[in-house]
Amino acid sequence: VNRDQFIDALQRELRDMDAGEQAEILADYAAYFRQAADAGRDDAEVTAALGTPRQLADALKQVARVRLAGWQTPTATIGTDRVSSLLGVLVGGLAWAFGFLLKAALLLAFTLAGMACVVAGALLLLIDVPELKLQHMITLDIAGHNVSNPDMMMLAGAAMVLGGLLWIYIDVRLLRNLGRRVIDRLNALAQALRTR
Amino acid sequence: MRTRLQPGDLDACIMALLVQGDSELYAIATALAAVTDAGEGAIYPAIRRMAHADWLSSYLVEVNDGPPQRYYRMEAKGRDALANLLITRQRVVDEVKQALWGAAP
Repeated sequence: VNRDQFIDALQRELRDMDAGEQAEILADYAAYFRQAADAGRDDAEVTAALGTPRQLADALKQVARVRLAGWQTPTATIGTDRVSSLLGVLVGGLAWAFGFLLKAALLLAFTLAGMACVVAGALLLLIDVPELKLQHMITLDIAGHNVSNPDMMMLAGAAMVLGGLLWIYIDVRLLRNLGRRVIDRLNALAQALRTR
Repeated sequence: MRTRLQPGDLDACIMALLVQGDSELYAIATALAAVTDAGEGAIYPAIRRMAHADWLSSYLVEVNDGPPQRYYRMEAKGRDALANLLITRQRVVDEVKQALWGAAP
């Protein structure tokens, strides 16, 4: 494995990480390879000494997560002691799971709000179909003024449907991202259990 | 024979080097890999972990040929942490001595 392959692989493993942090890590490893080359070592030897990109990414992501979860005390064990590193994963996992549930609940609430928008918008559009005779059941009222004229309601309805759909789309994207991180977290846990 | 590190030792070793003066990743990693069983790959995550906890700080130094070089510096919190690590280790040694030989620590 040469340094480009190593750095590419590491970048793939770190793709979910904060962009600034990712860039810093990759720059630090690039500098590491340069210095090793200056010392007369070839890339294959250095990559073998560093471990696999996946191992490093797991350790580095754990550092980042521990910080995100507000867990400030270094456990001083990653890479040296497997029992404690398992403990670190579990403790970090609990703190992280709390944040995850909070985020998931918020995203779900926002998704529901987006759906409500779509439904409300659809109702406003339906009013414009005279055969349904919904005009008297639904009126549009802005600051006490009745603005239930068909054109306004059609425009508002279309805007709400589109806005709601966009909102749901964004939420689903964010939820998928969250789901991917759950999988990462479970992988880290499984790996910690395996290496015990 | 390379020294087998116990939990906490890696942090203590890195900080012991940094107490003597600011240093950079490659120098720290190769120095420790030469005398301990810590792999070169274990050093960087440990350093980042300590930097996140504000035990260490880092700064970039311009070099003539190539991109700037990142140096690490001990912070007050790191000195406290190192002292705690060493005191805890000494306490264990004292207690074992006491149990084995009944000697006053």
